[in-house]
Amino acid sequence: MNIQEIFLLSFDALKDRKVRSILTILMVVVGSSLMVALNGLSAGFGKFIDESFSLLAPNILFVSSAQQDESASGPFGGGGGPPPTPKITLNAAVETRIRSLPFVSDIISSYQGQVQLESSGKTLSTSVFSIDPAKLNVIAPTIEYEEGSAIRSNDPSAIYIADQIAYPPGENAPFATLGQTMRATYSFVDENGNQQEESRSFVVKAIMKPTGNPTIDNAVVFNEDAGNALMHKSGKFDGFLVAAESGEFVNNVEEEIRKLYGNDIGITSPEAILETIRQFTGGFTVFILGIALVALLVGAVGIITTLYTSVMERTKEIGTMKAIGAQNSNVLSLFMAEALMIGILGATSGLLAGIAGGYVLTAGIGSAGGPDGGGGSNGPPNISPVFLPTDLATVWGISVGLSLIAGIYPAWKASRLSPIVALRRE
Amino acid sequence: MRIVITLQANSLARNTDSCKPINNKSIYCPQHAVGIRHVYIYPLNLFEYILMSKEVDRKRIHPSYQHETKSEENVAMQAKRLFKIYESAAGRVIALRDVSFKVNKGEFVAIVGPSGSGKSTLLNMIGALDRPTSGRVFIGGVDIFSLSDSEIATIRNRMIGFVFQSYNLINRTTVQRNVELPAIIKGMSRSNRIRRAKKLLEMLGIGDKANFKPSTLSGGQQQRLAIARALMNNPTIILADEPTGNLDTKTGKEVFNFLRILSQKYRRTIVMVTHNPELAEATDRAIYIKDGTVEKEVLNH
Repeated sequence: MNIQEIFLLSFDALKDRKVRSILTILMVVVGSSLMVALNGLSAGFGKFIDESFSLLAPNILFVSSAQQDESASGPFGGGGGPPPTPKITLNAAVETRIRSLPFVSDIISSYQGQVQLESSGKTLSTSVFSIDPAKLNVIAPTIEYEEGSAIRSNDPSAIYIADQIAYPPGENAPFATLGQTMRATYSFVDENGNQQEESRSFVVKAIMKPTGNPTIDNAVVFNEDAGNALMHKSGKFDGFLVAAESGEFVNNVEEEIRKLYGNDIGITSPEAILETIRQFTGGFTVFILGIALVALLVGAVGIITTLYTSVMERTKEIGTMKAIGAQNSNVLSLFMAEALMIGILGATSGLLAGIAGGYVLTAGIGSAGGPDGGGGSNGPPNISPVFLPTDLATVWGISVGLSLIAGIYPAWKASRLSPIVALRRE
Repeated sequence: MRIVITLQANSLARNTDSCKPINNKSIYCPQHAVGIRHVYIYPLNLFEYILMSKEVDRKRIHPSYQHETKSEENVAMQAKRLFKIYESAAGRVIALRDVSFKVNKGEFVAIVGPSGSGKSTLLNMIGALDRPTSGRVFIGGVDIFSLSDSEIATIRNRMIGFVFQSYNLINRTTVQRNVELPAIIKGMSRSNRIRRAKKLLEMLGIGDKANFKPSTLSGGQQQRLAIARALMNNPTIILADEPTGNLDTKTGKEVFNFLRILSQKYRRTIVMVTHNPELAEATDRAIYIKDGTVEKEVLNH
C-alpha cells in the first residue's frame, strides 16, 4: 500500500466522522494556539521591558540603605513585611565618600515619599522624587520638558510634575498647569505616635514629558531642601543615584562601594532590575506555557479517545480490510495517518489562531491600562506580541508529535484486531 | 500445477540459494532473490525446471512430489485433517473434528450445516483467517499455515476472494474504490486498478454505479459489488459466507446465479457456506457439516 493511498483512505475516514474529527482537531487547536499566543505575548512583553529599560541611563546605580540579601529587592526596598532596620544612614558624609571613589562621575542624593497634592480643589496622591532637578537628565538622558518650563536647582518652592500628573489620562481638565500654585501635604507619625501633617506650597515650574522611566513618569520632583523639610528627613537620604563614568564601569563602582560598606548597603543597577524582571517574566512564561502544554495534553487524550472510539466502531471494517489481505502494518499506518492529519490540521490552524490570539490579547491588555491611569503616560503601553519562527516550529512540532504519540495506542490496537471479526454476524 | 503468479523465467536467474521449499509443491523465495516485487511463492515444478542445472538440495524436496503432482493438478483447495479445539474456563469445545476435503479447480462447492455445526469455523480456516489446532490447508498448492501471519495476509490478498453475508463494504467511499481496495493493498498500479475495477463492475451489471456510495445501492447490488471486490486480484478461490443470507429470495437467487455464472462461464472456484439446502443442491457438490465433522458429501448433477 503506498503512502498516498493510505492518506486518501484515512482522510476519507476523517471526513466520514466530520463533527468528531473537527472537535478533535479543535482540541489540538486550543492547546497549540494557547501555546503560540502566550509564547508570543511573553516574548513581546520581554521585548517591551527591554525597550523600556533601554531608555534608562545605563551608567546609573541605585544605592539604598536597604541591606543586601539574596532576594534581589528593588532599588528602593522590596515589598512585603516590615523592612529591616538599616545599618547605614545615607547622609552627606556617605555621599562624599562615594563621590570620591574611582570611576564615579556624579552622585545624586534623593528623598522619596508619598504626598497629597492639592490643586484647584482637586487632590491627588503621588510619589515624590526629591533631587536636584538639574540632575534629572543624568537619570533620564532623554528627558524633555514642556515649553515654558524652567529648571532651577536652588528654588525650594519649585515643583516639577510629570505629564501624567498634569494631564491625568481620561480627564478633560488638566490637574495643574505651568505657573500655577499647588499644595503638597505629607502625613507621618511622630515619635509620640501621633498622626502629623506637614504642608508646603509650590509653584509648577516644569512639566516633564514621558521618559519611559517609571520613577519619573509617575512622580513629582522638587529639590532636596524642600524634600528634607516637607518629609522630615533630617538629612537622611533614601537613596543615591551614583553615575559611573560610563556604562562599562558600573560593576567597578559597585565593587568599590561594596569594599566600603559590604552588604550593609543596597546597590542595584538597571541591568540588575532588568534581570530580576526577566527572571520573573521567564518564570511566568514557563508557568503559562505549562498550562498551555496541559491543554495540548488534554488534546492528545482527546485524540486517543476519538481514535480509540473509531477503532471500536470500525472493528468490522478493520476485520474486512484484514480479510482481504491488509497487513497489520497497513492498518497501523491507516490510523497513524489519521492521527498525523489531526495533528497537522490542528497544529497549523492552532498556529494561525495563536498568532491572531496574541494580537487580541495584547490589544486587551492595552485597553485595560486606559482610564484608571495605570498604563503608561502616553496611553496604553505599546506591547505587540513577538512570534519567532523557531518558537512557532517548536510548538508545531510538539503538537504534531503529541498527536502521533496519541495515535500509537489506538492504531496498535487496531492493527492487532483479528480478521475473524469480519465474519462475525451482527 | 500452475504458476501462481506469472513471471518471466529469466527473471529468476538471480541468487536462488536463499529459496526454500515450503511443501512438496511450492517453493518460497525471499524478495531479494528474484527481480520481481511481491513474488514469493512459485510452483515447484517450474522452479525445478529453472534450477535444473543448479545445485539444489533435492533432499529437501518431498519425494512423493512427483506422484502427487498428477492427481493434485486439478485441486484448488485442500483441507487435511483439520481440528479446531477451543479451551476455555467453561471447558473444552471441539469445533472441528478431523475435517478433510478437496475442492477442484472451477468447482462450485457448498458447505452446508445448521448454525453451531462448525461451518463458520471451517470457513475461517480455509479462508486463512484463523489457524487450526492441527491439520493443514492448501490453497493453490501452498500450505498456508506453514507461513507467517504477514505471509498469510498476502495469501488472503492474492489467492482468496471473500464474499460476506453482510457485504462488509466501506460505505464512506465510492463503489469504485471498494472494488479497488484489494488491489490498493496489493500495490497494483493506479491505471491498471481503475481499468480492472471498471471492467468487473460492468461484468456484474453495476458499471453505472461506480461513483455512488455503496449504501445507496440495493442489497443485491451491494452483494454484486462485494463479488466484484472478491474478484479484483484474480484469486485462486472465492469464499462466500452466506452470500444470500441478507437478501430476499428473488435477489438472493440473482446473486446466486451470478456465482453460478462465475463458476460455469469463467471457471472460477467457489466455496459457499449456506444453510439453505435448496441453494446447496444447485451447486456442483455439497459438503454437509454436523457437529464439527463432515457428515456427507453429495454430488449434484
